[in-house]
Amino acid sequence: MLEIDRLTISFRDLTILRGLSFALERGETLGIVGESGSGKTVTALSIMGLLPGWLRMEGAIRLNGRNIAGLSEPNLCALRGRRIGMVFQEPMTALNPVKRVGDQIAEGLVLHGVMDRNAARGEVVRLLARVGLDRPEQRARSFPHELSGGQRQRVMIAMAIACRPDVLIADEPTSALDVTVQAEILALLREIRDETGMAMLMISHDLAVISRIADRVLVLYGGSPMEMGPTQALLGAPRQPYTQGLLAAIPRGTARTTRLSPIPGQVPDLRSLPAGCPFANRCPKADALCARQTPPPDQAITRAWCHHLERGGAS
Amino acid sequence: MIARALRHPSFLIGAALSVLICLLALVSLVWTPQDPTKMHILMRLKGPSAAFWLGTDQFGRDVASMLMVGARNALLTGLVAVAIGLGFGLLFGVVAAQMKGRWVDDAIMRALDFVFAFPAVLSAILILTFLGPGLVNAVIAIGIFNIPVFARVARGATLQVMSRDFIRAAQLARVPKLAILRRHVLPNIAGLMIVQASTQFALAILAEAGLSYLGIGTQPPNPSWGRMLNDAQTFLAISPRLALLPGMAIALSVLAFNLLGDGLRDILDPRLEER
Amino acid sequence: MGRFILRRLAGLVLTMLAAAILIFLLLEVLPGDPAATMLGVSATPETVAALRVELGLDRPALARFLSWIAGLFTGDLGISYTYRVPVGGLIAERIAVTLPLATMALILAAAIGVTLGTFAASRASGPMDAAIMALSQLGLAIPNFWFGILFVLLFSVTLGWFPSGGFPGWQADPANAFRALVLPAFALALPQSAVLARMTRTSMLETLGEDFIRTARAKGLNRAQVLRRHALRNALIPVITILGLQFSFLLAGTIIVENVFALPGLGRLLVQAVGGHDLILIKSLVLLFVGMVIVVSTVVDLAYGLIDPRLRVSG
Repeated sequence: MLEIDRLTISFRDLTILRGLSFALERGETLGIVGESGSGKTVTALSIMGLLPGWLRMEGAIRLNGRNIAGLSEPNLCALRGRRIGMVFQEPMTALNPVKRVGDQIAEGLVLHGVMDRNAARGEVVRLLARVGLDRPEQRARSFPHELSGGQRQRVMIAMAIACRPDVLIADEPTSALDVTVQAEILALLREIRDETGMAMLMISHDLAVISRIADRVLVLYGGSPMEMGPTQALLGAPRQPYTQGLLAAIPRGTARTTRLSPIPGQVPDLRSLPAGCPFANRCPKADALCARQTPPPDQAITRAWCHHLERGGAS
Repeated sequence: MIARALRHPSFLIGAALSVLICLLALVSLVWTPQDPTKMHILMRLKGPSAAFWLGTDQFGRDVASMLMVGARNALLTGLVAVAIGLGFGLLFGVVAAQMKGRWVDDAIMRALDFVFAFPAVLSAILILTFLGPGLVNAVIAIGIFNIPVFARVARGATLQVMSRDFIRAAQLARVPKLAILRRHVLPNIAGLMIVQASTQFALAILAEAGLSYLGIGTQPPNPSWGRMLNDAQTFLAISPRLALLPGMAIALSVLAFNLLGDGLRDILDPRLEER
Repeated sequence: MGRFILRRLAGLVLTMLAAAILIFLLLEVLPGDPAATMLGVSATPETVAALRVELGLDRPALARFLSWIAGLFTGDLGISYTYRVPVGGLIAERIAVTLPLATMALILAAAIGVTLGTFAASRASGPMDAAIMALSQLGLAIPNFWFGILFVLLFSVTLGWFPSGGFPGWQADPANAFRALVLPAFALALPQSAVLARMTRTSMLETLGEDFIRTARAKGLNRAQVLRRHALRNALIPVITILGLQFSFLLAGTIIVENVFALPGLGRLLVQAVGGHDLILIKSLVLLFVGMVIVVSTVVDLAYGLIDPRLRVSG
């Protein structure tokens, strides 16, 4: 349904995303994991056609076979909200403070000609109930500042799925919420996905969130893919050193007895990445080859990009 | 910072114009082409010539000389009015910020709000009715209604600085209040105050011109751009030059100091440059 | 909400009272002998004494103050010394020129300023933006009376489209009365529109950078729709709050501009009164101006709650 083909995003001579490719099928959830600067948000924005004008994009983005990269603005507007919905990270600021919540949801329905204003009103109430808000008729007339963060995120989700898009992109939808609310929002997203058969792209820096909702995971670092594969396989038996480092860094045990084992080094400055594998200067297995040459993908249970993969099973 | 200053086009234009006007004003202290108050009755309303570079007005006075002395008066007005406003405003503003939460702060803020209710021209007229017309009184009047502007800015800026951690650290280290003010607060609010001073300088020039136009500012025979405009109105059809020249002088001066202030603001506080 | 209104109204009354006291002190109490001031230096002691009795200046200051305040309610503000007619009548006559003038100027300033500012923001960093910003710098630098003189030069003397001054009266000749106000209104409006244009532009740029704008675009709205439906109302909130302040500047501006065009309004009356040392007239006029300014700012403060729902006490 959604296919990204060698997507490259750059700013003058600085490359932010290097040749990313992946595919997403109906009903499937792909989780994209990465630290800041890994390129996950620009990927999401480029699918929506919302990249700022000063970023250059190359490659293809195919929605149901049709390349939507570089489409004209009117065509993109027809797609946004209708075929591709997006939920953003900050529910506190993502809604227009002077408009009622119901109006903001209805706007998309009327804009794309899905239904007229009167029918939209009823649909809005139905949507608000679906995303778990109590007293939906009253909530529809509320202003955003009258709702809590969790409630606002539910409204965002309602807004994003209102026109029943084929793809839902969720960019860190739970990062700004309390842990208990996070779990509820994730459960809601799972339900909606199962009910409608939408494809979902879940972006997060939090492995725990990804593990609870994604069928497959793509790990990004410094604008390049590190490893991609089914969630259980990737998280249970990571093959690529970066993925392994991520999982090892998760604190386990008790504060007293266990030492933390972070990945040495810092989040990379995109301007000083090595020409080859971006993880080369922090990787325990790196050598001169890694710094020089981008590793080709190696397909086993998961697809990993590394010159020094262990043969015959996980480490 | 100097490098940034040199790359900022509007600041450079503003600075250049301001310097030019200051030079003209300074030169006028020692020399003008003619005596600006002398009336050459036989040479009234003449165009530019060798003797009268920009022509004469309806009384036969040399326009060029009048413009130069007018520049001097305008700049003087700006300087003194801003000095009064800045001096008292800083005092009230910093004191109010220090006493935040106490009645002194409240009282000062209410007084400021009250003064703000009087539009500038109106309060100037009121004060000049009380004091009598003239350049000196006009400068005082303009200075007085500058005080609340500076006080507001000073108070806001001081409050902002005071809430920063390094002030807390100094207070915990038992540094005396006055020393904190002198060493930490004042240098940090200086930038904002300078920018505001530039803007108020421009406004003071406008105010003096307006009051002189109305006849209650600078009195004859002391030349003033504002009054020149008033005089020029009667002869608008015959000699438009008389209305254009002083107006341009006012506009250019105000523009110069506005650009200077805008430029300074961008240069001194790079965070504002991000937008 | 009701208490909020009451408090603002109480504040209004108190400020007016304080203003009246200040005006009275400056004009009648502190100068010593108002009668001497009014007659000037060439008057004989006998004429001064006679005037004092005539004006009731031999009564104690407090009594005079109170009867002045009482006169504000009854409409009896005394007889103008220079015009020999009741002050109340003079004011009623002149306000028929000043208020329409100031209102016209406000509408013009808002229309021009907001339009240009929005346009500049939508073409931010482009040549149109730079041009509009440069023009606004000029607008700020040129005094309103020079605008007036230039307009007279161009439109009256050279083109003859509009009168260069004077006012035929609404009763006598409404069409020409309106024509007489056109040039003065523009002269008043242009400097203010420069301020409004800059403010609108800044506010609009800030609003366009907010998260909810991104959400609106993600729903499929094109740039024009986003601007109209989401950005404009939010961006205009700070602009509307200064409209009240702008009106007070405009009122103050009428003092000068009416003199440029010889319009028989309150502003011209004030200047003539000052020239004639007519303290009776001056004190009521100044109080009137201050009163208008305060009333307008209070109204704007109260209206602010209507515009921004976040400020309403939520139910």
